[in-house]
Amino acid sequence: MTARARSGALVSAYDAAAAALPTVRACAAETDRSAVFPIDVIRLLRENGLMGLLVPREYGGPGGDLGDLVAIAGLLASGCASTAMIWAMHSQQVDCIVRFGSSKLRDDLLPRIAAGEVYLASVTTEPGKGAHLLSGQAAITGDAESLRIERESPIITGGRHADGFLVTMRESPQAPAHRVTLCYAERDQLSIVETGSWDTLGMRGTESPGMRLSGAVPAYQVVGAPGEFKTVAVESMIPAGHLAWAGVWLGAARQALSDVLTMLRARGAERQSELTAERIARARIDVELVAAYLGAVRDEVLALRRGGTSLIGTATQIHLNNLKVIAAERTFSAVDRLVQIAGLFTGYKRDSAVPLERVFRDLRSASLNFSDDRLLTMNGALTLLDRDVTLVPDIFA
Amino acid sequence: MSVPQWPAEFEEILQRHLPLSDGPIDGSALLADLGLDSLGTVSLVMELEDSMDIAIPDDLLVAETFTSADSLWAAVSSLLEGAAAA
Repeated sequence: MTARARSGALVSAYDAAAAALPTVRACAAETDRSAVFPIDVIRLLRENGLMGLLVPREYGGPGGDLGDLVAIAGLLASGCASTAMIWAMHSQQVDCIVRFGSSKLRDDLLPRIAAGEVYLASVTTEPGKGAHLLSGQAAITGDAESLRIERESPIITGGRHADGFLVTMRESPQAPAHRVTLCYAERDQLSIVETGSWDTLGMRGTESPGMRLSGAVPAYQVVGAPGEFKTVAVESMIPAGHLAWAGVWLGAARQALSDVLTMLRARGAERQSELTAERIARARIDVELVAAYLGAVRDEVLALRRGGTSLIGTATQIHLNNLKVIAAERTFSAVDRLVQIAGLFTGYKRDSAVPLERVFRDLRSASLNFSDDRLLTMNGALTLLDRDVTLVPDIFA
Repeated sequence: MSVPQWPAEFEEILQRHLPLSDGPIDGSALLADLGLDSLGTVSLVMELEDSMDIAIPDDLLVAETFTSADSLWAAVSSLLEGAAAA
């Protein structure tokens, strides 16, 4: 694949990410310690245009694609995984608006996102529903012009600080559970009550307590067709999510490996053992495998999008689910090995020069961030429908 | 009295995979609305292949085939005719 020439606006976005990295890195320890949303860092990402990475040129953004999303997610994660995940999840929602927002919603909202005025959170979990993304319990009420939202959600990443929310709701009180509508709501269209707190092992800065939302929105704020959130999920929310999250986890793990290698070089050759060599090699393998698979699935999705082809094909769905599970498992495995290599003083202590224990805790979230268990069950079923075993890349085609 | 659109065996197998179905299956009703999800689809495919002695090729395992009972029967009956002609 040839790298496409980046526009000036995109080059600026990459430069902005690199320039922000020292600040991202410097704030990471305090963000983790306090489990508080990194407001100052996110303000920097608003001001430098990165919150609008996926906003197309015609709406004032640099027109980044999912490949740019992956690259910048990984770069930010090398400094702070919480910050990177907050930014990545916001960008996931932006992709939904870009591809499925009504023209009025896109005209109103995308320039503001590009200007850094709107940080988006998603509201897709419901008490008692489990992690079943494509079903809804609470239903939209009201009328065709004004949609009433009454919704409780146990986890909303960045909910306390979001300016806007993408909310899944059952299409109507009469609709079956699988007819889900996605709507956009501005913070000031809602009254919001926090219902929980956030004190977790890792990803502590994502500050994702539960909330109860109540309000009304006009019909043009429906994203995609009413009842057809599944299409938005398949074509946008899920692929952007899995690619971006894998980028975050990989960026964090790769930086951790790099930091440990620097430390080992400083220790000197006589301190190396064969066990250490084997562990380093395997950590490297973990990171390489994730990078290779992430790149392959990214390219598959980009090619399908360029061709205007749906991502609903069985093989593509399998690959996207594989990516999430592989990235979650392999990056955590890599940092687990790194803690063992680094030893107690460097790997296990919080005040070590290398933030390994934080990255270890952050990456333990990966298999839980939409449970791998569900994805593996899905893929088991889907794989039965793909007896040809269509690989990505399709090297035997 | 209406002519049955498909054999009773097909109706029985399909009914077992439509938890929200209430009475005889309407040919044009959306199977997703009647409770067919991805996991159910896999199980449905395997049971159809087993009981009706057909092999459903992967290129028929697309969303269009499973839209409605009519679309599914169209796929299955074409395979049965093909098998009978062979």
